[in-house]
Amino acid sequence: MLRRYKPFFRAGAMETVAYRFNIFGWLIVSALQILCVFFLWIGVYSNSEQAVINGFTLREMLVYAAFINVFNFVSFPGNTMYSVVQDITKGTIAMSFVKPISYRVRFVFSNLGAMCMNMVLLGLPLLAVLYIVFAALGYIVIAAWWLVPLHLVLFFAAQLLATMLYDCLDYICGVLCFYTTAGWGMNSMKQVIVNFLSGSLIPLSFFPGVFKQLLNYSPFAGISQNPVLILMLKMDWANALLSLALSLGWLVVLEGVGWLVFRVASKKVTVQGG
Amino acid sequence: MIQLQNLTKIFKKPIRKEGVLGMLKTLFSAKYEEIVAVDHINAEIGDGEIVGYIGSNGAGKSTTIKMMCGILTPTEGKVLVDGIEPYKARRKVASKIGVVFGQKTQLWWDIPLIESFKVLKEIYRIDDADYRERMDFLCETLGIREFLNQAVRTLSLGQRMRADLAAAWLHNPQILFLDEPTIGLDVLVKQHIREAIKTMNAKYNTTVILTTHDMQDIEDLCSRIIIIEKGGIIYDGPLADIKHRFGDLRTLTVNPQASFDADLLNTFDGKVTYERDGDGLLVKFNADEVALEHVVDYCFHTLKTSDLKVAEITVEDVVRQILEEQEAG
Amino acid sequence: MRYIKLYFTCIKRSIITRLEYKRDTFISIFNFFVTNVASILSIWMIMESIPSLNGWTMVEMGFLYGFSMLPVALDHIFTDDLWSVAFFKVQSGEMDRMFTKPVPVLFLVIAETFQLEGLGELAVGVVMLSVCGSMLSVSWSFGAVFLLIMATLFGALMITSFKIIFAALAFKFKRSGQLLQINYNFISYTRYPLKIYPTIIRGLLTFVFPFALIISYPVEVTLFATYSPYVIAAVIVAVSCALFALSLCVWHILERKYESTGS
Repeated sequence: MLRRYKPFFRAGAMETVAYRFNIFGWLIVSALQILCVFFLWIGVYSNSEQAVINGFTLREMLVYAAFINVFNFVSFPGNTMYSVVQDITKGTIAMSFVKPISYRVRFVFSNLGAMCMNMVLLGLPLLAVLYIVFAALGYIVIAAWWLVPLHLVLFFAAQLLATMLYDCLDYICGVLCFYTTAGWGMNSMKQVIVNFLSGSLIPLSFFPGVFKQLLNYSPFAGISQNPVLILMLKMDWANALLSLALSLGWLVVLEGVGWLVFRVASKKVTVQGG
Repeated sequence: MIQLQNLTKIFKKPIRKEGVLGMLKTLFSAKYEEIVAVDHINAEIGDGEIVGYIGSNGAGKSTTIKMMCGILTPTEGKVLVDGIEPYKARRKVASKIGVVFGQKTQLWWDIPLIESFKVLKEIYRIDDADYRERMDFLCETLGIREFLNQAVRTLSLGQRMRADLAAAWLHNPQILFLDEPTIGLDVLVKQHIREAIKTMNAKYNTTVILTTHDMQDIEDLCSRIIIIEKGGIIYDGPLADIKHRFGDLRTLTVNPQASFDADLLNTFDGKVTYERDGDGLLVKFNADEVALEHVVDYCFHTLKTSDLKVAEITVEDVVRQILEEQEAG
Repeated sequence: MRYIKLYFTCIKRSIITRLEYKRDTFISIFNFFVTNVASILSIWMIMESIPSLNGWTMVEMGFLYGFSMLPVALDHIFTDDLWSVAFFKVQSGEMDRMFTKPVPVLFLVIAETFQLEGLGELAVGVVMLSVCGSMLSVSWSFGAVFLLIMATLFGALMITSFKIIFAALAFKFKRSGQLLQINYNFISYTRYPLKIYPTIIRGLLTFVFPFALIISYPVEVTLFATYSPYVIAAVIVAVSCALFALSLCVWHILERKYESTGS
């Protein structure tokens, strides 16, 4: 059943390799970003009377900042929104109604393909180096050795779900572009909001009281913060499993929303005649 | 006047390998292959000529035109537009030329057509009197007045092409490059556009260089054609010559009901050739030598065809004929 | 004179386009609003957890952030199409139509868009600046106001100069969008007090990518009267003009490398 989506998985992976310029450019851009964040946190902690701020020590914060940057780049290669917008504006979306494959599912596979390729080419080597360096410096504290493989498995599961969750949001935003042509603005806004609410800018524990609680149970926590916390062993396996379950639940809900939105919006297309 | 002297353009293209592994390989070592798009061509085009520049896809037509516009630099040789090399003095040449690339519009997509013209008026420094005079003439000839206030994105393909032509002609260029001006248009619109090009060429004595796949375009417009194949010019001369050499070639596609043997069909003294095409039959002949109605008659009555399609010679046919002739000679 | 008229004709065109799609323009403006709100909230939440950042309070940080938006916004309004040159217009061959016009290409690029979003950014910046300014009871001396205005105007020119240089690299490499992003990375460094950075970064921001000059120093002068405003203003004007001249040269040289995409 899923076999016929294999080409999309492959195509996603190949596309990732094609844009090698992007990867090298990204390395510099993000190194600069991470550096800036590092200095900010060092400044913040040196001005603080406590060694732990909102549950993070300076060391943990630096690890978190570095990991989340790599994680976000590797896990969300998606151009689902862009593709959906293209299909709408060029009218090729009508073609995909006739094809015997699901318009939605092929995006999932193409994104998973790109994510895996990203992971192999960039994510794994980079994360491995960072992990070893941080562990050697004592920035990551490993209580028992067997925790590492366990958390790695949990992390990969979390990453898989994170990619799918993000892709789903991407898809929903793309479909919403049935109603506007400001694709660039929508995309940028989506990115900013997801970054902010998923803990990519600052950990969710910095958010004031009730927001912190809400966000921890929102789909956003599973998109960036929780996978990274699992990887750096800052979330124990029980909580990790809880987070995975939560992500899975949200994925089902959001896919439902996406399906609904698409149905409503595609009616409009048929009325307009593409 | 345009002169092409030993004009050559070589592109470097990275070699892409198949499959994920191949892609990974190119990631670390990119190899390039050289593609000769235009190969030492020479030609001279005088003022006021309408020249058809034809050839199959990828023969090097667009590359030559882009070099004449100054947006590609030759690898070897040169282009001279009124004695100036366009890629070296782009801005100087720019006001002398007008360009229409069939698929890409030069107009601004989201604003009323008239606003695009106003911007062009400023860009080309057209004074008010000239602008009014030419707008009147172009509106008349191309029939664009009715949609002057519509946004370009709302225009049909034919309307847009007419608008693009007007935009390219607005500053009264000495030379106009038209890349596939009639592509994708229906017969009536094509006719309209050809008429307009002829009228405007007559009035302003503009040199027109057009690429096309449509033989009718060439027949109606061009006194001279240049045929390019694999980067080299294989023919440069009047259209009448070509017609004289190959005659009025026609191809009939029929599907005979009666069983037939293509090798045995031999009437018309061997002046008609037959080729199998799946279940059907291709009947080829020169309409100057054999009357069309006789062949059609034969197809219906002797071959008992239920359907019949007449095709005139295509650009590809001409190219193939010339190449065959050159190989033979 | 001719170019001024041409510029206004082109800009009018750009604005008509934006008004055709009112909802989309609104979304884009809103996008910049959201982006800045997210950054400001992040800074606020961080500052909640500490008394001050190397002597800077939240309100002072807000003042700095607000001011940093002004030159960026001004540049954004006038030269936004340089982004599309760097990211795709060279590669897709869309530049062809600019290269077949009897007008300098850089002029056509600049005249292509008048980015209304920038106005929103400018407004948010001015509001932040005045709100935080009044909370801090900044003394608006003539020197301070003069310096901030000069830093905004010539700061925008400096940002534009860097953008021109990086966008021009696309003529050689087909794409240079990410270099432009790196440029913006450095600009965003100046949103925090210079003191949190080690000497090497401070040097980089003062001498190589001198965005500290147009953002950090003017704000420090206004808030803490560290240097003479007139000296800083003079330096800003001189450096910006020199960079602008350099960028024009670079553009001019690289423009000749432009080749339309094949086929």
